[in-house]
Amino acid sequence: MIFREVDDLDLVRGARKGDVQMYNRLVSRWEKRVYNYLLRIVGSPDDALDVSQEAFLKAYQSLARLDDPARFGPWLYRIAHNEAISHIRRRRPSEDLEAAEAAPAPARSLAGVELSLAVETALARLSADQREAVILKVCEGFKFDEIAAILGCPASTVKSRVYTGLDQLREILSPHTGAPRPGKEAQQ
Amino acid sequence: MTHPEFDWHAYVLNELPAAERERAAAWLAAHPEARAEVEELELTLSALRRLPQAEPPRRIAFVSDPVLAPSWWQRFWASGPRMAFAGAAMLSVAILVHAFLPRMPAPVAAPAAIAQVTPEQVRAEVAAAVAAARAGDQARFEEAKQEILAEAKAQRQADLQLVREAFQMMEKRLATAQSLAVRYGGD
Repeated sequence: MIFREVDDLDLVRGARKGDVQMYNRLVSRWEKRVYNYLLRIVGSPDDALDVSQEAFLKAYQSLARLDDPARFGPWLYRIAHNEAISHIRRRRPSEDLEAAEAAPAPARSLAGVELSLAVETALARLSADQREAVILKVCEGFKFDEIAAILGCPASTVKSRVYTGLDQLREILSPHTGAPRPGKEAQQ
Repeated sequence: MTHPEFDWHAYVLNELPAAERERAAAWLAAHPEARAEVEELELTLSALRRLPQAEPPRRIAFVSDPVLAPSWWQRFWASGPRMAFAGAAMLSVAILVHAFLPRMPAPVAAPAAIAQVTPEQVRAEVAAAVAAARAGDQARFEEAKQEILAEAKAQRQADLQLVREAFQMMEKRLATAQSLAVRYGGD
């Protein structure tokens, strides 16, 4: 007997045939990652959960339109990204979207660890576009072209946002990471 | 960054091709003064990756609700084997119908209907049709003209009759006046 791990492709095919339990297994696989991604975009745990539920529901209703079932992850994040943007616009219609996204509150569950707090604070100081690109690249591990599909912009733009964001994070976090700064040492 | 020849962001993100990555690593080993900057970038990435993942407050799960479930045609269209089977079945039916339908002879046009027509004949037919149309127009014009003339003549006769009657009435009145003058001794 040969055992094979059930992958997303199998679950998507089953869910497309109307098997809700297959879809629930897909949700179980992705909900924590999607929730944490959304938490860093919308800021509030309650909002992140609401947007996660909306994203999973929309994904379920649109499964038939998923061109490549093997790429369920990037497709799901694309839906989650759109839902998060819509949520922010609904929540703060009078404010500029960029300003609304600029400073989400750090996740409360991360309190207590100095470095984690420092990273959360540093992330909050990035622009919304840079923060989302860095999270998708570094924390979620997507490729540049996948992030481009999620965010709906060219891969070169994604790369620029990630690089600039990482440089800013490096500057902000250098006292916490403890790495020597050759330039600064030379100046001192 | 430290050395413009290499993309150090791509290096720490493990996005460089293997050969270029080896060259960058070799360069870095030979230049310890640049290593600190790359290490700082790697530490930043490491800190980001070690961010704790929060647990969702509630689990997300769906129940088998017909309102949420895709409709039967969505499932049918999403099913590749079913579509292939349906396509094959339709093709088979088409082949069978084509094979067993009685073949009807194709209608053949009568030889007379395929008579050759020369340009001269076409021109003559067109000229005849034009002449016929002109003659028809002329006849209709003459008929209308005669009707108008007859109507005008009748009107003129009626007018003359009215004038004649008025003149006769005046003559009678004049005669009456003369006879009365004679009777009462006038001139």
